[in-house]
Amino acid sequence: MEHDRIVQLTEGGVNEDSISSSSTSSCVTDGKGTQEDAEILRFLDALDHLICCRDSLARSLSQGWMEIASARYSMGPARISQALFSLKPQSASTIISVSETENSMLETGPKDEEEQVCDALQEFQFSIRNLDVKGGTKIKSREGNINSETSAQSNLRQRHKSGSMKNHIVEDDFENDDDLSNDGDLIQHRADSPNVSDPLAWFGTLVSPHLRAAQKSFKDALEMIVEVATAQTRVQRTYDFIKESDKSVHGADVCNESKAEP
Amino acid sequence: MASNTALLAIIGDEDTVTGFLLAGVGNVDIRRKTNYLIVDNKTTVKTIEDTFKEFTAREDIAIVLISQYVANMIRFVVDRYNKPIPAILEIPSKDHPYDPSQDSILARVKHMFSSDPSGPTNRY
Repeated sequence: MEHDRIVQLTEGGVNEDSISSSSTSSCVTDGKGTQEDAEILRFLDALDHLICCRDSLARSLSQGWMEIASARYSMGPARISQALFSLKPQSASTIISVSETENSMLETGPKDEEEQVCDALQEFQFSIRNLDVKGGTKIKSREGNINSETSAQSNLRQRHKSGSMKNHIVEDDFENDDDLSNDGDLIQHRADSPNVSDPLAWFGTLVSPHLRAAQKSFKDALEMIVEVATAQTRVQRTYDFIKESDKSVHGADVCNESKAEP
Repeated sequence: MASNTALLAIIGDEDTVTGFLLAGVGNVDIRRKTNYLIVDNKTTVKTIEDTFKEFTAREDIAIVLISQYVANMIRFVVDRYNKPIPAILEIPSKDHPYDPSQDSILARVKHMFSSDPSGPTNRY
């Protein structure tokens, strides 16, 4: 990055114009250098996070496959097979919410051509959204999960203060998704709701507990998947930015050298 | 910050697809088109490639999960894909553990740290 400054300073005919332009370009290159360093740190951080999430994902999936194998052993191979998948029109009960994050990198400093190129490099954040039995939605992400849990807790505390203990327990049971899948009546209730059904019902009303455990493991895996996807897009974006800035620095060096030659 | 919702698509072996369908990601539309493909020994590479292209062209899909050994069958298509949405995630399968050196994203960024300038195409 210092190379273009050195090239300009070592030029034979140094005049005031060249000095002023070199000082301006040095300020710009310093700013770019700091920005590039920050992007490299972000890139390494995202890569580290991606690798950690990949490990957790592999663990959740292994657990899920083990539970499915156990369920198949106890229920029989014919009871857990793709032939039992429902092909009736139905909506997914777990969907992905995609949000485009604001590009903080571009907010600093004036935009030049290089930065305008980077506008095209978008960063997306993925989170899980569960369609609730009651028609509402639950958003689950690393940050969103904590927020929704705390808000739910605060609401429940208020009800506990004003209402009876029995109501609190009933509401708590409805809030807990895992408890929903444990209750046969509620599976039926889910199946009755339009277009959203519990896939456990495909394999019978009384399924192996291992299948429920497998369902939980794969739900955990889904949470890791959205994290991996977010980390992966961040890695991709920062990598593209570093590559673009490398190209522009290399291009500037070539231009300076071609100017210096005559 | 703009936000919208979309589906998750899966291409993988039977147990992986079964697990994710249990988690509630399965979607069947009125034309009985699904957002998953179960790959077994009868599935052809052409089917996998067509399904991959279909999933990546659909606007209602945000993430495409593909087992890494399946992705290896259509590696040339997976490596050529470079859009941010839908994001392609290579996942391990029951019989084939995840290999980071074969992942298209990690292979793309790997040569940044190595002295080899040839990039990810060198691994064939």
